[in-house]
Order: sequence, then C-alpha cells, then structure tokens
Amino acid sequence: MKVIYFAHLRELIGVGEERVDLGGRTTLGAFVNGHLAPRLKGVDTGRLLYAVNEELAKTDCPITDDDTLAVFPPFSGG
Amino acid sequence: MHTRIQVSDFSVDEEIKLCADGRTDIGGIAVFCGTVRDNARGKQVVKMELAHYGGMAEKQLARLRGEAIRRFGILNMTIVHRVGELKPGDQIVCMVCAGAHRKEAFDACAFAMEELKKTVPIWKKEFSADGESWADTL
Repeated sequence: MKVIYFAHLRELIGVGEERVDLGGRTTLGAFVNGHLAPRLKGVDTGRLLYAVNEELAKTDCPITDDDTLAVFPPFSGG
Repeated sequence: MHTRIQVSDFSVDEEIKLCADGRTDIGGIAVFCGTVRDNARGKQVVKMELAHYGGMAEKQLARLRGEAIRRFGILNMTIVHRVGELKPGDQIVCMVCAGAHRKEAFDACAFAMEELKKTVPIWKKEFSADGESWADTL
C-alpha cells in the first residue's frame, strides 16, 4: 500500500511517502495501531484524519495493498 | 471554474461576477474573504505557507459546493482557495454564494466555510521571528 503523509505529520514521520506491505486485507484502524502509533510517540492519533484513495475514511475502513492511504493532521484551511 | 485552488491572488469583484454569471433571478450575494492575520497564538506572523493534497482538495471543494447548493437551495456558488507563500494582509480564500434571498446566501456561506475547515485537506504553517509552526500542531 502506498502511504502519503502531510504537513506536520510528514515532519514527524520523516518521509513524505512510503510503501507498506500489509500482507492482505486489514482495516485502517489496525494499520494505525500496528504501524503508525508506534512511530508517533506522544501524538494523539485520535486527532489524525485519513483518506483512502482520496476519500475521507474512518478507522473501520477496509484497506489492501492496492490502496493509497493519505494520513493527515487536522486541516487548517480557510 | 467555480471551485479552484491556486497560487495566484484573486479579485473578489471578478469572483462575484463569475458567480452571478449575468443572472437576474439572484436577490442576494454573500461573500466571505479570508485573509492572513499578522498574529497567531501571541506571536507576530511574518509569513504563512499553505500546503494541500493536490487532487483530493479540489475534489472536496467541488463536493462542498454541490452540498451547499443542494442544502440551502442557492443558485450558484464560487470557492477559491490559495496555496503557497502568503504575507499578512494577503487574501487566502474567497467564497461567494448567490441566492434568491439573503438568508440562504448567508447560511450557505457560513456552512461551507465551517465544512471547508473540516473536510478539505489544506494546512497552514506560520512563520514568526521565533521560528515556524503548523497552525494545528499534533
């Protein structure tokens, strides 16, 4: 799966995008808890927002290696 | 284009003209124009950088316009949001809502601005003499 990080999150993770091998179908929540949270110590992951294939997604969204996941800090446009 | 993300500045007058589109059934046009404030969280802001998720941000703006038109029954709407480097006083966003009456134009404009902040992937980074920080840090 292609994972893209934005804004403050990009600086915290240290890369703009990466490929992650999910090894099968899982959920966004499982990915966040297993892969993302351990790399974001001290960050309230409950504030993160997500898009799967450019559609806003919640943590129960199913994901596969064919998807593109975007991980966002809270938006601040306007 | 009635929804755009662009680096260049915009003219509010031109956006009103685009939204009105020569129609004569419009009775009220509500306009919101957001600008760069020179202070944030007690710091003097000297410049701001706006980043976005190209592709998705444009799609979300178009979706937001459709939702506001449907929900409030307005006749037309234009949203322009700038990205890139901006200075205090610069225009950031322009939202123009044209309705048969003022109420739906005002309501649609307020609704769409709130939704934009929740659903459109755009982020502000503020620069001050002390350094730089994202507007909503994690």
